[in-house]
Parts: sequence; C-alpha cells; structure tokens
Amino acid sequence: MPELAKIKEFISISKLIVRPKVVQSRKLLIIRPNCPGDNYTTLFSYPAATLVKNKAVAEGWTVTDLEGNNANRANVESTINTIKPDFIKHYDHGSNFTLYGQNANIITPVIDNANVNLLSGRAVSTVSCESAVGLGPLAIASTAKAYLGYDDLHWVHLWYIDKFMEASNAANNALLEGKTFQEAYDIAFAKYTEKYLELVPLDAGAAALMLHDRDHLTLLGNPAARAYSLRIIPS
Amino acid sequence: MSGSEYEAQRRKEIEAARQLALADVNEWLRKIPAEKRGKPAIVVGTKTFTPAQIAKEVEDDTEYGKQFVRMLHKSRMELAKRRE
Repeated sequence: MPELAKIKEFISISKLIVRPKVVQSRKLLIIRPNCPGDNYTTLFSYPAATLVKNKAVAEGWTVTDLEGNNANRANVESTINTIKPDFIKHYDHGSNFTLYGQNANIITPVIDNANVNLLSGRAVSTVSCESAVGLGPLAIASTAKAYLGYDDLHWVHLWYIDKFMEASNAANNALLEGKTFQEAYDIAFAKYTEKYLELVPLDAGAAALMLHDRDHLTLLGNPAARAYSLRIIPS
Repeated sequence: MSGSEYEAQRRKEIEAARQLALADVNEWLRKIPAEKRGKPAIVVGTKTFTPAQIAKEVEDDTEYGKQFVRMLHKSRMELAKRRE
C-alpha cells in the first residue's frame, strides 16, 4: 500500500507545520476625566464615555477605563505602554496640540507633542476641542492608524445633552462594531445631521452648535483602518 | 470703484452684518421662555453660558460671540441649501 503510506506520511508532516491563526485584538483604553465644577466633563463627556464603555463591553472589547483622577499623565503613559491598547478613546478637553486628563481634580495635559509617539500603530478617537488641527497630524506622522477628532471648538447644549451625546458617540459606537474609520465618520455625519434637523424647530442656537460640531468632525490617517487590530498567533 | 471706496463699502457691510447678527441673536433669545434665559445652557471648553450671556458676548463682539454668530449664519445657509 505505497499510496496509503504516502498519505500517512503527508498527514504526519502537515501536523508539524505551524499554521498561523489570524485573530482580532480588541483592547480599548478610555480616558475620561470628571473634573468637579467643570460642566463639559461632568455633564457631557464623562457620561457620554460611560455609554460607549457599555457598548464596548457588549461588543466584546477588553476595556481599561482611566476615569477621573486616574486619567493623569503618568497613568495614561504607563497604561499605553503596558496594556498596548488597539484603540484609544478620549473624552475631555482638547486644544490644538494637547489632549487633557485630570490630576488632583485639575485639568492636565496627558498626550501632547512630547509623548505623541504613544499613539503609534493605534486607532485614536477623541471627543474634545481642536486637537485634529495639530495633535492629529502629529499622531498620523507618528504612524497612528487613524485619528478622529474635531478641528475647532466642540460645543454642547445642556438642555439637549442626550442629543449631543448620541451624535458625539455615533462614530465611536460604529468603530466598536468593527466599521472602518470612513464608515464611522459617515455614520456620525448622518447622526449629527439628524439631530440638527430635530433641533431646528426647538432651538435655533442649539441646532447651530450641533451643525458646527458636525462640520468640524475630522478624520485623519487611513480611512480604511479599523479600531481593532489583527494579530497572527501560532495555532 | 477705487480701492478706498471698496474698503469703505466692505466696512459698511461688515457693520450691517453685525447688526443682522444681533437681530438674529435677539430673535433666538426672544423665543426662549424668559425664565430659562438665565439658566446654564451652552458649554464650550471650560466655559458655560446662559442664553442671556451668549447674547451679551455677541453684543460685545467677543471671540465666543463672533463664533456663535458664525454658527447661526452657517445654520441659515444649511437650511437654505435644503430648501428647493
């Protein structure tokens, strides 16, 4: 039975060959200060981030949540270096070249041009003011996969805060579901428009803020990138 | 039209636009119930404004006031684009 022997030999050899398996890595870091007396974080960004955290858990992400005073620079840096998250979500204040966190109840820079290399190879999304103008391009230059943020001030209206949360979270929810950054941007644009049109008959000022936020949402980097990473592991 | 005439015309129109913006903001404020005009409403960065305070920012021509006016204008343009 030479043929059978050959087949048996082939099977035994094939067992020795390591077949790599491609798996999705879904490690999420959330940075969400909750600074006493600061209406943007306490009434908007912190509770908005709670909603996306719940969504992340439901979508099977492993979540590291740096909230309140834990969202300080030392913790952010050490967590990124040790956990190596695939996706970093930031909900707080921003300025042209800085994402802020919180230390001893004070707003404090946590990611800026001095440590932007921490974003290398990662997907990044921030709901905050202005950082897509300066830090975003620096992040992409440091080989972040993609960066979603705002290139102007991010305004919210407290009387319609649920609508602002829904619109601001739309892109992040889409990314958690595995959509590309371009798809997430498009979904957010549509959600902002929907909420804008709902506000027009209620309050022209609030509607104008919603439209402004929509028009300043900015996608940098690879639009086809996804928030999760693919890892090759030996079977 | 000379260069100086053009500049004068531009300045006149900028002032007219400011007056229109003030009218827009006052119209927006008028539609908000009086008892709510002094309540915290608009948040940007670490600042919070009541509708009455935003109207004052516009009147005083501050950076926040200017941006609020620009946002109202953008909204008016967006609605105009949507009308057939």
